[in-house]
Amino acid sequence: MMARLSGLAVAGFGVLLLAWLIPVHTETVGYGWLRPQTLPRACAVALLVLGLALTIWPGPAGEPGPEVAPGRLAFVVVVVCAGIWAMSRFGFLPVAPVLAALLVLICGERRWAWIALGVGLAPVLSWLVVDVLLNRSLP
Amino acid sequence: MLKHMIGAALALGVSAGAAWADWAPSGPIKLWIGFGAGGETDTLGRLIGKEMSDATGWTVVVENKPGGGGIAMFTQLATVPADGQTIGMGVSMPVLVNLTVRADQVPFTLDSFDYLASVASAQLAIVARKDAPFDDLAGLLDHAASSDGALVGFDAKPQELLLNVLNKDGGALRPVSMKSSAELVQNLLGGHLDAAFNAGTHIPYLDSGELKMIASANAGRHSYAPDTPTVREQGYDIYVDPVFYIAAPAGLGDDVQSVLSDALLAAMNADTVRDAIQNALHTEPSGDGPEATRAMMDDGMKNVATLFGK
Amino acid sequence: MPDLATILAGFGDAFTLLNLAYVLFGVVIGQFVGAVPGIGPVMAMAIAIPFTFALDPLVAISFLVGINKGGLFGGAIPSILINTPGTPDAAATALDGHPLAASGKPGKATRMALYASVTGDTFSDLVLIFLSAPIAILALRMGPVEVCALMLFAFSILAGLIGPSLLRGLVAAVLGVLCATVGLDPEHGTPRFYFGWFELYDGPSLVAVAIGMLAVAEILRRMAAVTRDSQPGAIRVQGDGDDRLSLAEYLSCRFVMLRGAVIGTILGAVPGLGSTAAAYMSYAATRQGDDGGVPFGKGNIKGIAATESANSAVVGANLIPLLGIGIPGSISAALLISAFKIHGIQPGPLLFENQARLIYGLFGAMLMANLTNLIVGQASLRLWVFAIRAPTSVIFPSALVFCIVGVYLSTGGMFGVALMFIAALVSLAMSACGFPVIVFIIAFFLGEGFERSLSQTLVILNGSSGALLGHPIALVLLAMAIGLAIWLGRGGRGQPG
Repeated sequence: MMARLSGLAVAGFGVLLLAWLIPVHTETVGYGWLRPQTLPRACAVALLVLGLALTIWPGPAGEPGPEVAPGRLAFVVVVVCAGIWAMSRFGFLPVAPVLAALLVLICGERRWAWIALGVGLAPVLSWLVVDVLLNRSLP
Repeated sequence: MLKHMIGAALALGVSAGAAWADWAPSGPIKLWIGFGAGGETDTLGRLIGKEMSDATGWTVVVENKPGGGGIAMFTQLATVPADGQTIGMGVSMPVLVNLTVRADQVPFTLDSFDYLASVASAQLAIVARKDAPFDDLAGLLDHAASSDGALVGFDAKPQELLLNVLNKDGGALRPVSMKSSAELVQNLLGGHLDAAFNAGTHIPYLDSGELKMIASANAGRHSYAPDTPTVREQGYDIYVDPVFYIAAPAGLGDDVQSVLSDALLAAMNADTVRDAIQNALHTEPSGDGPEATRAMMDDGMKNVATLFGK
Repeated sequence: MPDLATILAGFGDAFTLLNLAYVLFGVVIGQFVGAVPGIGPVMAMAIAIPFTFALDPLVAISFLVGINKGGLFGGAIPSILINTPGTPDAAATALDGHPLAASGKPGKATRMALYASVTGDTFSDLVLIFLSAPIAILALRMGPVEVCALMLFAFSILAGLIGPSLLRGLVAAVLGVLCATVGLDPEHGTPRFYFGWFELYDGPSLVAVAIGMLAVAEILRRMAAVTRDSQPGAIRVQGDGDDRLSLAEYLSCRFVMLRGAVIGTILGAVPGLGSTAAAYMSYAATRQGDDGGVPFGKGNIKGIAATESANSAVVGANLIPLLGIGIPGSISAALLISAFKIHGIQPGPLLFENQARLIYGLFGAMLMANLTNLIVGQASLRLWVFAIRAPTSVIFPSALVFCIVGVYLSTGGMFGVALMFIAALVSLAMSACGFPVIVFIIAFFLGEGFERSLSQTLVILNGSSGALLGHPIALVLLAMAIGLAIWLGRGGRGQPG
């Protein structure tokens, strides 16, 4: 069922490209062999056809993805997303150690020494090397 | 605070002129470069930053903001406060082309910036193999007419438009889009193109005698090839002049603008920077200050409009 | 050919203590940045170049070459130890490297990678030193039509990577090409799918997409997988002493490494294909000759030897067009050109004439860097095998922070970081639905060059398919592409992975 749905999603993306993305987000040029739309349109048609084919013949399951609990993964993704947003808002130095600490805790680490290392290592080392030593800017 | 006062004192020390006002930056100056790290223009910008810092005592932090040949950087630059703490180095052509063709999509205009200084203009040539049966544009067009058209490689939109101008009387030049000067030279040498634009990679091949220069595509002739006439001199009133320049968000105030401009022009005249400009762009620093740089951009707008037939 | 005295003087310049110190410094930096996910040798070189302005040209170039070569091996380390490639080129090394390390033999796996990397690298350096002039002249024959055919040839290696479902593999390839069409189109220079973000004018950053899809996706998955009760190190080292690499094991891979080195050298001599594709091509060819030992994908050392010899050989060979005709074969070669240029040295036809001593100095430095890589590598692989005894709860969050820092630096802003994160989510979604991520990445890497060379080809042929007959090399390449696709497709879908 999942396989058929993914096929439908691919076909739907093909339709979205043809109906909206390509007409609105490319410019029309009146000359030349390969127009800006030529290759995207070919890809969109291919996606539509392949997606429909997948919906009809889902076939073998494909590469089996690694087993992950979807809930936990979604939680980690949300935390990281929030961290990246906060970094663009408040800067690297205040945010990175907090993000690292949260992730170390989410991974279930409860030993103080390791938590400290997780918080300290990457953020502080990056800051020392990039900002202080190389004089390049961080977020 | 003390550091800044010393910086200001140093700044006053190096400038004999009375044009220096009281202004000095209140923290590190950010010099944004509209290109990725590691290229010659990146190194050039970093050297200008370093020389400026050495001469004035200010802290100059150089940051790369690549994307769209500088459009991404200028988009961001137009939104920061006009306090003289953030300036950006880019190249004129992509800005002028996008302001001409898709002004509605570009969130800034020429007036969004105060112009500080021009660095130099990239030397753009039209070259061909030594054994090509032509030596100038008229010969190239004749060759194209007498064969199945001539393939001419280019690596930026304005160059293609210049070819369209050459083609206006039914010429048979066929533009081929490539990615870089290096790719263009490779395809010329391999005999896959009849002629090509080039911004410097061709110079050693002129020395070795494998390539010859057909025209300078800039407004003026090139210092290393003073005998090769420009496209304009060959009868087509058109040119492509990609100028590297430095600007700040509009509203600096005259004193801030002149302090920054003088510091930048002094840095560009330092020996290391002169060398770097020579090595990267094959020319001398332009030496243009605020007014001349703004005039260059205004003239460039008119020229690009001509290129696009607007 | 310059006279012997110049050659010897060049090598003499290379083998000085100062130069050795800089090569060593470069290799150490390279191995470190290669091994830290998200930060790669290309970025390290880009950052280092402005600093090298103050150095003597040979010392500057030697230093950069050291970083590049160190990074090549460094990238394999996290690929093997935590299944998270440090650089995109090392992604293929994880296929057999990580299972071998996970079975308790991280030392064996990383040593195989080190020796194969140095072997492939040395092979292509020797080709460069002795044959660069004639090969560069051959490379000139490759015009847009031939390059377009070569791109199709490279696409055909995807057939070996598609996995059990042909339809899903094709979808992934089409999506990769589509992703490569974002940005200015190659023929007219009009923006496509940029949604107001001018950062996308140059197309989505290869680094951000590759790191996101390969490294960050794996890091997110691993962080979600660890549970509160178990905090093992990422790898448990087996105690039975079979964690070294014997000479016999090394020699058993000699043909595999030779083939990898040849594939890498050929792909490296032609600009635009890159070391990631070379590694997969070598791996796919090696997997065809399954000898009934350890199955591929389960920790066969030949899988490691194949990928590392190929991706390392690309780098030496990238300098063939650079030194022969002044054309960079890759981003790192382009960075070397800008290092040459800021020192006032113009790459091009007169390079060997005007700068013979410098070029032979560079050759000396390259050989020295290979040896240094081997020696430093012994120490650093021990260090990293030791380091990953730290709990996964520390390793993966740290790796994520390094990915953010690395992509921020190489793309010049948070836009690249956001792009990396989105790419990671796409990668997770794709693998959850069974679409092969690596096919997407390789198609994405090749897509831009493919569209560009296709546009050039159409202009040159002027729409006449008969004109193709004037390009015999292209015809041969097209035939080879079809043959390779069939050969790899047959073997590639026979077994999963």
